[in-house]
Amino acid sequence: MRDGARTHEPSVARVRVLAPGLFTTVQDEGRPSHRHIGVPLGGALDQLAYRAANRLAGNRGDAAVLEVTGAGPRLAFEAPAALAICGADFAVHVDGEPLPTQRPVWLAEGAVLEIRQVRRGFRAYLAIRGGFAGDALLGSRSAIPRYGLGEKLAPGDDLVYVPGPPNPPAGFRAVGPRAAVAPFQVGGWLDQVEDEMAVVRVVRGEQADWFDGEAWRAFLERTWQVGPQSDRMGLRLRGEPLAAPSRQLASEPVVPGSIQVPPDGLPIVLMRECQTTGGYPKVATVISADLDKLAQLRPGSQLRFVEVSLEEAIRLRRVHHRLARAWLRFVGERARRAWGDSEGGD
Amino acid sequence: MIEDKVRLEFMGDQALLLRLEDDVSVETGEALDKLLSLRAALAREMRGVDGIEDITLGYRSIAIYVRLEDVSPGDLLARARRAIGSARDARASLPQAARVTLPVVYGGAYGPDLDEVAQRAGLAPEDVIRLHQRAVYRVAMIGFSPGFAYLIGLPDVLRVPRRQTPRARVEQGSVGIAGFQTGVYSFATPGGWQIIGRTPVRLFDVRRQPASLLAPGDEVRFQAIAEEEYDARWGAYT
Repeated sequence: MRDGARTHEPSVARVRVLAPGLFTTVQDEGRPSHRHIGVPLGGALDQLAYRAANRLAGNRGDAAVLEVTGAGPRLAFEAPAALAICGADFAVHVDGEPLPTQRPVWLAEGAVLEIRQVRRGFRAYLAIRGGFAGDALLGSRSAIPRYGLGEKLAPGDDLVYVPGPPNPPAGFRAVGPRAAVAPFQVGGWLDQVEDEMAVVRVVRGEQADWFDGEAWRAFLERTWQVGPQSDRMGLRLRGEPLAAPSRQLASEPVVPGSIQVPPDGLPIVLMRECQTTGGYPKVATVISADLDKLAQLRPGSQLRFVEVSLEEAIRLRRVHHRLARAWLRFVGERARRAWGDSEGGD
Repeated sequence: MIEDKVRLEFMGDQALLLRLEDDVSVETGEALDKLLSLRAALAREMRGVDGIEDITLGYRSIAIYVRLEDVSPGDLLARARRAIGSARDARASLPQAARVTLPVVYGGAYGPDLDEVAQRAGLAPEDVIRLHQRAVYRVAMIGFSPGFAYLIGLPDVLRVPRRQTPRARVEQGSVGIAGFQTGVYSFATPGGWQIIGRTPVRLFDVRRQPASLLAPGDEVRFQAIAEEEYDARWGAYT
């Protein structure tokens, strides 16, 4: 990220990090093929919001973005920028003016973008046209600071990007002197953020049989709360503990969504940045169609689990994949029209 | 026959797990031999199949990470069954294992639990060091953190339970013992293993190829070095 050496080139510009926010990192799809050497999948926790942010910024593929958590950064742009913020609903301001999100945004040279407190959900994605420049490690830009894979944003960091168009595209509405936004926003995806009680679908886990029927019913019937120690590795749940099995498990591979029950009986829902193996028994596995939803839960959020069959989980995965692809294509076409890009297709 | 010893199960909709029956021994390396044969057969069977992301080992299981929108569950299961049927249950059929020797400073600040391990084992600390060095270990699996190798082959007498209270930070390179396992912390992380020494060798370096020094099946030895040598060799990748 500290990539100042390249900024003398005329075709690149810098974003200066004035304040880093609670926990802001560069993310993309993660590293699905390095788990055999112990590297977590990682990547943007809400993959759909990450992809939508890229489409809205005018990117055809998925470029590296900033993942913003809870309270976002303050960023100064030294050149015009084409970008989008998509995901959780944050209070965003440009030069003090409230800026609507979930849509294409144009910033002028010198604009200061401030992503303040989150109002709904927990994580949002700031995508910029052309992506933030930097080197991929093991095929990905996704930061995992504890393993030396990138750092979280720090004050004074510079992010390098390709400047956006010098003027706002036709049809954009001015927001203060140095920003303009497209006249549409993407709807729908924030509907998955259930404010009162998130309902998360699961299939039985690899060690579900180790729990007695009582514990399984309790797992499904109880209301759980996301604990304060939760992070990109896992959601530590609070509630009435389950009776944990006493049997020892030889460490084995896990997946994001695996729900481990350590001896204290309080479930841990593994997230995309989880370890690749684990030795706690797993009571259930969140279906992949609901993983993005988990990314929008914050400490204090309530959730409960509903069982579906494996066949249903696989069917839902395929449906989710198809719908997401179609929706992203639609968002991408709409955004490219708004940016005034002539080329079609995706 | 391997076939009688393997069960197939899905891990949610993200992976297929091949699990060896409970009577296959992890500690003797029997499970590892079977898993390495199975993995080789799976790699052959899955080659070129769209949607296969990775194949990883646990102590008695193999996970095939898969995008089930790109490959059907039926096709995946059929391929896995064919692989199980064709896996050769013989260590002789496996490729030659890599041999790695890790230098270790035992005891002192580098191995704060050496005395406790010695006490629990009813040995002098020097005997713990001697026995830990003399054994030949095999990498059973990589997990916990990038490049962290779980090693089997620890002498019975050195088997001590993990610490009552895990440490908030175990330094990178720390050599630990937990039950039948020994291993090296590839990164500074929280950890509960009994720490008897530290190696200056880096087990994981993202800028090297391969990034992980060790892989399942590799043979590992430990060799005691003096503290002065630690600094000279720090960060080496052997």
